[in-house]
Amino acid sequence: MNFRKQLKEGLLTKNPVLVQLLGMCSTMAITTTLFNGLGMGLTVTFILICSNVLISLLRKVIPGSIRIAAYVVIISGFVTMVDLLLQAFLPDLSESLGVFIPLIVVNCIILGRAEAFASKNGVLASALDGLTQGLGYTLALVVMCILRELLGSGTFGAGLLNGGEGIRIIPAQYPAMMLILPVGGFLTLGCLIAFSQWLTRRLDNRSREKAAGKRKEAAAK
Amino acid sequence: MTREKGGLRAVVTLFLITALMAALLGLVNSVTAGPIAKDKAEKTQKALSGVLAEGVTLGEPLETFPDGTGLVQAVYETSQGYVIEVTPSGYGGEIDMVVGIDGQGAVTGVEIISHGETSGLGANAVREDFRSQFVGATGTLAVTKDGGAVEALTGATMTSRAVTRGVNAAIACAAALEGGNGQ
Repeated sequence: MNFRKQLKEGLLTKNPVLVQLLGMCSTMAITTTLFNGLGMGLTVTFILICSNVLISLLRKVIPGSIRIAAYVVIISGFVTMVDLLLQAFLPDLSESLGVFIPLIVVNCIILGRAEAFASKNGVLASALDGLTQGLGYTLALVVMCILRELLGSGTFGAGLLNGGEGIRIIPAQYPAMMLILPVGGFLTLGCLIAFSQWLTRRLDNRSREKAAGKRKEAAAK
Repeated sequence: MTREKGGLRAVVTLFLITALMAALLGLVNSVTAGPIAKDKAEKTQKALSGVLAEGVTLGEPLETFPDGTGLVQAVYETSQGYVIEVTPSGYGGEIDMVVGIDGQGAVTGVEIISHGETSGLGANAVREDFRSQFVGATGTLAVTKDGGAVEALTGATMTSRAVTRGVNAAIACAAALEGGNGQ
């Protein structure tokens, strides 16, 4: 178990949205205000941790032939629970995310992590995987939300700050409304993926240079 | 023989997992059912009283009402007119809204109970400055794009048309009720 490695993978090098390209539907649909992105990200993180832990606990009990069915039952159970809890205690968020909460059942990130990680690793590592992958999803959503909301509606933090109105940064007549629409989601995501690739490569190069430098030093000695 | 055993084990395991999740769901439901029902009732009540003019009291729902559009869900009699719940279809499913109508057939208020419109665009229909333009309206309304006087929401013509359709249905329903009573 390696917290720093898993965190780096979740946030950047194996980011569920930017690298694995999972959960695209919700990524496009709800990233229009900061409130939505943050709410969706944290909801998915919570469900991901719960389902990863339970699946990891049961990984030696579930026969291979029915594992997908078992995962789907577990995931949909947790999603429905969270849906009910949000409706009861955070009705504003529940209303704003609407159908995309129940749709987390078919969000590939959760099934993907169950199959790729939780079914093969211990409970603590799986919980950590849920946390880091969930944070990676949240980070990608929040960045998309901030960009789309700023350029599309001209505000920051609608639904959260300033009594739900958000802070107006660009006067109301200027923002490019296109960015709030689905096409804007694709454009923003494309730019974000390009940026994350550039960042990954830069970090790679730097760590390689460091290693090379160390080797040279050792050779000189 | 081994294959049958494997099959039985799969069935039992899946059954146990399903039972476990069902039990957890039941537990959560028992905690949340109360608050959810309370929240819904509060929202409806708030919307109903929100469309009434000052001094007007809400009466009982009518059992039958004329509905030429198929959009009317419920009609409440008030001391000076009607409050009508309509559900026109917007961009993201049905918009559940209530419209208050006074004795002269004019709109006294529009409130939206729930909707599935795009956040940042159609969802702005819940804002006061959009809803308030319907107050005092009579007859048949249309958005400016269709030659009417209703200022549509930026980028959400579908939503604006849907709300306008809902208000029209409510006005027509109230007019039919008034006409029926007069005769």
